[in-house]
Amino acid sequence: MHQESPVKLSPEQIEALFIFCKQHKVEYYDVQLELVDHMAASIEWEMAKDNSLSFESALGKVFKSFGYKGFSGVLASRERIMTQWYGKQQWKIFLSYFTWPKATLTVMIMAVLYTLRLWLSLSTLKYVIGGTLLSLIFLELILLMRLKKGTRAPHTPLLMLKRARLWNFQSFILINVYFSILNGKRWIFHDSDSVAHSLNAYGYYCFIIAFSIMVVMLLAVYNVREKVNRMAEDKYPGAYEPAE
Amino acid sequence: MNKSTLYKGCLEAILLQLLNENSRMYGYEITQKVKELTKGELRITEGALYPLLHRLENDGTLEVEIENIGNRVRKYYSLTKAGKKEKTQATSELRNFIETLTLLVKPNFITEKS
Repeated sequence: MHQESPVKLSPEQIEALFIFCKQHKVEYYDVQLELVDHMAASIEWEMAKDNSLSFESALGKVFKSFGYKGFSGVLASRERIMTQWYGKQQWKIFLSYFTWPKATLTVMIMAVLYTLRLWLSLSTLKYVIGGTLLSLIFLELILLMRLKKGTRAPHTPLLMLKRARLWNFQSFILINVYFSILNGKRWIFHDSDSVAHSLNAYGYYCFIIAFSIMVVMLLAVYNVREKVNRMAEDKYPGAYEPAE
Repeated sequence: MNKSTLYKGCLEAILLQLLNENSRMYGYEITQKVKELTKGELRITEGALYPLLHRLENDGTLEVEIENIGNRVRKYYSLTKAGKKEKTQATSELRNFIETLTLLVKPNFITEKS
């Protein structure tokens, strides 16, 4: 275990280090935390070695050791790593909907939509497509409200939550992707007199697969947001305390 | 030749070896330990250390514990199970590298120099 310096910084000096980080464009608490501890440990040793050294001079000396890039190199690498980490979490949850037990939900959505194909005519099914796409927006509204209710916003921003607290509408993006890739609009808005554009069995099966993937993606996005928000609250309680 | 350029490629192996011997360490402690062990010959800069720690944490080689140490919070890094395997591999690769370098600069290079 590393020996501790006999000099201890006061809470005000620690607070000054957090302010110093903010002044050097490090806004995120989870990045500040490590930098503050590093600078504090280094300053404490510098001041122990030289009694006449002031806190401010020691801080200047310590900051120089971060090189010409200052904190920006550390911040950039952390941002890159967090983006990778977040993507990995999202992908893991998305894939879990294709493995037991979550796959039951995916199979159920597909089964219900397939059964409708047996009961309804293709000309009616185009309204089903329109309706189910709209239901994706309602599903997102419910997920969004649940997330807002169940999680707290930190007082100091966290890099970990950068993507988890983006309040953008994923369902619109997904519907737009569906329309652009499969040109799905033709199956809803065109009349059945044009064979090339009207809904056929192939189009409906494509829709079943696409819609199931869209629901699962939406659930994965909100599952990750919920999970990461909970992890952040456990890991960094200090970010949730009001600033003095 | 710049010493830090020479050491750059070995940083990961050095870090894993240190964590293996010390069970858990924090950023500043790592920089000081390296300085102490190499008698000031090798200094790990903060700009090189933290990106490496963060990458290894994301890869699952390292795990993190956050602890309150009185006036502030500290992040301790330690090797995971996968990290211990990684350490063994990194150390043997480093050893091979040193042997290859010795072959390249001739075995009597050190005596020639002195």
